[in-house]
Amino acid sequence: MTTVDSSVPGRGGALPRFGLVWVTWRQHRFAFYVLLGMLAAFAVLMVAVGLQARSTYDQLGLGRCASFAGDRCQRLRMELFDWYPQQFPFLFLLLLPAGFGAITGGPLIARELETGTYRFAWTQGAGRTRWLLTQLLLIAAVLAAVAEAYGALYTWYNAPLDHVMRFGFGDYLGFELGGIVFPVQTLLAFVAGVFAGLLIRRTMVAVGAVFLGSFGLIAALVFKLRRYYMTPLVTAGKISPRDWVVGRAYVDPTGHLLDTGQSHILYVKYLAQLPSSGDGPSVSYRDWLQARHYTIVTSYHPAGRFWTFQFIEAGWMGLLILLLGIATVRLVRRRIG
Amino acid sequence: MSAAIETSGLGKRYGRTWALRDCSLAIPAGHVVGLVGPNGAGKTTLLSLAVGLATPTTGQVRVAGGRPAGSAAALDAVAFVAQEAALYRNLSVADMLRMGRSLNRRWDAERARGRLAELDIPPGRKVGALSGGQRSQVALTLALAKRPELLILDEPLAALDPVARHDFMSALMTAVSEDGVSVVFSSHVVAELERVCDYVVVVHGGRIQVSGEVEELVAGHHVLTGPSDQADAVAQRFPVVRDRRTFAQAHLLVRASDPDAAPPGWQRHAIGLEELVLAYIREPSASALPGPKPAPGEQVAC
Repeated sequence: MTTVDSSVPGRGGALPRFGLVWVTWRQHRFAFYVLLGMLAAFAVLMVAVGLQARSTYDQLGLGRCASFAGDRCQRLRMELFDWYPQQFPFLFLLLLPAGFGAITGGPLIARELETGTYRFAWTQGAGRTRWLLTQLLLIAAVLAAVAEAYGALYTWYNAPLDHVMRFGFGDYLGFELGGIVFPVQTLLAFVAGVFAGLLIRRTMVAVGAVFLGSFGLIAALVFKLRRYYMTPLVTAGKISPRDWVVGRAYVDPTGHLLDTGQSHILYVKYLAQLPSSGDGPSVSYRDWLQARHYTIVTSYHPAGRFWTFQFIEAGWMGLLILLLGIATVRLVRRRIG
Repeated sequence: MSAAIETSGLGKRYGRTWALRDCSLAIPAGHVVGLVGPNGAGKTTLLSLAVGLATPTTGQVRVAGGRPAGSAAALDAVAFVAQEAALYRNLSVADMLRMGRSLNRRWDAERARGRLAELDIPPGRKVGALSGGQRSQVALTLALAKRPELLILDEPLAALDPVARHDFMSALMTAVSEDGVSVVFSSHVVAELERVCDYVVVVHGGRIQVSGEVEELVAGHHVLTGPSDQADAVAQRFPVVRDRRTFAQAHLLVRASDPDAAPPGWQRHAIGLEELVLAYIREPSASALPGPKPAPGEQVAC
């Protein structure tokens, strides 16, 4: 018995090194393998198609195009655009932050509560706070890294096209995947999942609710809300290629900006004066407006705002992540049981 | 003597219902304590508070010699076997052990492995694939490997068949004799108590009704049998727990420390623990608690 006793560390000893890390790993390694498997498949696809895209780019000789004002370069870049596989399948990437976050975050506490295993996990010497913090931080780190990897792979794959097309920075997936917002969105969905699981105590309900909620939020941001982060600039002149156009409007000869209704009336007037089909050359709307001393103005976010927008989004989401995280830890410490 | 569990003014409310109320209790260390009461009496609530899974609405709990329940010091010194052995079913027994080792400052891996080998529980088997008896043995092994000062078990026998019950209790008793660990376990099956407990706490309706050493409780209660027409007079002299009268005879279960207390013409019978506990559970207004003696028949806030 004495040999056994000597192997038992006395009171006041430390927790085993990496003990909680191992526990986290053991509980989530299946999810980790799945996540990594999906990333690997995506990486293979991106690298394969990305390499082909680069060779197509070289074959077309797009490297020699300094600008795309000329007819030849304009034609070449449309050829590359057509060569690229249809873009819309990549909209599935918009689902990833919500999906990854909800699926890893929702069960984290809810499953423990549902199966009763929290009564084991939270009565061990390590205590529930340490248990929770280790799980949250490790999983968050892995999720952020995986999400950033998706972003990097897509950005690399898309670089030739992006180089020739020069999309406005907020117009397409470039904003999601080219900066820091993709991992931040994933973390937000993750923390929201953990929090919802704690409140709802039902794994599937928490996962479903958080997935729909976060996807809804992200879709709303992408298609509607993000452009309002800052007041757009307005110009009557030309804008540069990377600027993000968020609206066009007409200014009447007295210098007043027309609202949507007035713009519509103006357009109806233009249509009314058009000769019926085949009766001589018709004048373009732009020329017609110019002849009447109307000007077209563009509201846009200049290209330099890319990182400002990234930081605005990462900032408010980061704050929300922090608040949800703190709320989760406090609730776990106080309210269970 | 230090206390295994000590509560003062302890209460826990879920929504509008008090699961436990006004509970002041001191269970001395070094006992095997049976916590009994009907389903929903507040046993699980009391144990959850003691292991720190729940936080009290009022009052406080201290365990294993004055450590606040749920504090780091308490978590080190108290092991808990939850109802239905709440282990990770998708993990193997070996992984479960490693989990225990990873989460505790004190861990006797040698002993845990030895116990499982003795019980013929294969370490590679998934916890979910074990029988109920084996699963609760694994849970007990995990708890004992912490080398706790206090071992708390919530309904450890509820899901077990009679053979597994017997095995589990003898494993528990072996551990008690080897380690001198204090044990508190809850059960709604009163019959098991007599064999294993030397201390009993009866909970009913969220209140502590009885708390004391088995020997003292048994020695301090008697059934007095005598003519019904004298029953009222006898009932005046002793606290009556249970009062049964037929046309001619009265059977009074009374609390009386003096063994020669039987009045002339009355017979005194000893009473077993099971019968005693059942009598209290059936009579919610009676109570037997240490400290100042309550007036007969008066309900006492525990």
